[in-house]
Amino acid sequence: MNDIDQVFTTALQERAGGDVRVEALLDGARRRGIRHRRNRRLATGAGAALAVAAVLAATTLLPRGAPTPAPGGSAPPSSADPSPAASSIVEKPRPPAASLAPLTAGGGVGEGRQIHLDTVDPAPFTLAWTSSNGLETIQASRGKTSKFGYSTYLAVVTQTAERLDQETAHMFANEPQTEPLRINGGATGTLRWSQEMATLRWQPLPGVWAMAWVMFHDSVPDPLPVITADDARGAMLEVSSAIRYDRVLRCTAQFRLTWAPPGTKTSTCSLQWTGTTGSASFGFTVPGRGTFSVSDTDAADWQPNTTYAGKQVQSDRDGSRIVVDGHGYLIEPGDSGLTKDQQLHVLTGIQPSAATDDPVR
Amino acid sequence: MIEFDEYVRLRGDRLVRLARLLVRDRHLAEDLVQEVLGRAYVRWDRVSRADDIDVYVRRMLVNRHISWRRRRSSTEVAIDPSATHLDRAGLGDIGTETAERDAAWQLIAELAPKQRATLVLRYYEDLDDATIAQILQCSQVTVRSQAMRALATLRRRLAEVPALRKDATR
Repeated sequence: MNDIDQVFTTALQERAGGDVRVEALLDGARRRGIRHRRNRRLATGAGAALAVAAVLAATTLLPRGAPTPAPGGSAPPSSADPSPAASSIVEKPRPPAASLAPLTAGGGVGEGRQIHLDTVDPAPFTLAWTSSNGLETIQASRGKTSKFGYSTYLAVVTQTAERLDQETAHMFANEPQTEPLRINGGATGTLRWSQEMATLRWQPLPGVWAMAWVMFHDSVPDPLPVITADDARGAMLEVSSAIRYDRVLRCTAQFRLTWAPPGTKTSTCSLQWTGTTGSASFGFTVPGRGTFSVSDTDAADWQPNTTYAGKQVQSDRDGSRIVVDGHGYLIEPGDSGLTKDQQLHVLTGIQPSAATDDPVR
Repeated sequence: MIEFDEYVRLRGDRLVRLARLLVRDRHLAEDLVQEVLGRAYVRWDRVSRADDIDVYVRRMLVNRHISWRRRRSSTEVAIDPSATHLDRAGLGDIGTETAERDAAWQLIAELAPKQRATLVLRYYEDLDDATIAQILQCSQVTVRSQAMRALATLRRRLAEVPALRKDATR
């Protein structure tokens, strides 16, 4: 090391010095981690991210007709409202309609693991839903960034305010700005916003609590524009007025599990819908353990690297895949604690089937 | 398998010191490390199974820093009182060696993020080129060329500081 090198080394050592409060660092990192985990779980629709592109059954369109008036606090927007114009709404293809009561007619959030949320926003090119007991989400990815600075939004509904607060805690890194927001002449919600995101919490219907969420700058190049209170208000009014509760869509899989650990129950259905096709992911809860998931996947890039029970499988550290009759399936252990052997046992027992809302029944 | 809390208690101090050299501002440095560790916390099951956890986490730190710098380039302000201008190096009441180190630090801080990271990992972390290449996700040749370019720039600029010209060329 020559003199110059020594100068640099010493300069760096000096600048790096000083006390480090490790316990405070640990505490802050843990808090951020918990927030990231919750945000990610919400953003991916509690499992929708597990689903990868695959073609499901032939598309069925929702019954057509005049757009149904929005219930409760999400009435069609007024002319002063920045939400999408109701008159220009063109409903895009959706999963088939289910024969359950919608939330506006007494249906329950997550009932039958079917989808009780929809959006009349015509902009999204991808929609993702997840439905589980007492909790549903819808995530919309728009092809065009809103004038309020976001291109993806999420809505979460629960049956109780406590559940909503539990599921959406720690979303902000720092204390956000908070103010009441009157939603299109209806209910009053609580708007919280920062330079990164905004949320709106309100009660759209009796027995239904909702939170809408947008991330700002999610597709905006540098330099980042400053988010104003008007941006946050506009974004939340736009999203909240697009959400609908007056229909139920089917969330189904086209596979069955012929083997699963004793007592396993179907707990979550997630659906990702792009254009006219979609892919499904189901969560399965193993008693006393946790949840694993099985998803439809593309069969194209399947690269088997081992066999189990005489069947070829692709077994990776984070999950395993199989192709049956041209259909790809992925199992991910999640927090279920399933051994590799058990995962492969489940995977190799998968059979393509007619659409079902409960693959273990 | 090491637990998250244990890892932070063992290595958090070192990560913050590394971040102070990447970010300049001490508050932002701690913020950066908290953010990176928060993200590591979410996928600790995977992180902790990495061949070398330190390399993995430092890679996260450097990548996050570069990403932050892109996003915050217009707002990041060096409020560290030690991050002063080169003129300070010429002040007569500061010892030559201190002035020399101030100037050296200021010049390092002005390097492009990847060049700065390369020098910090080499001179502060004392890592070999192979490990630096793993962290920066580039080839060892790229590491060496980045380091050579950065050092050439620093030597040239350090020699331009009037009060240091004699020391810089000794």
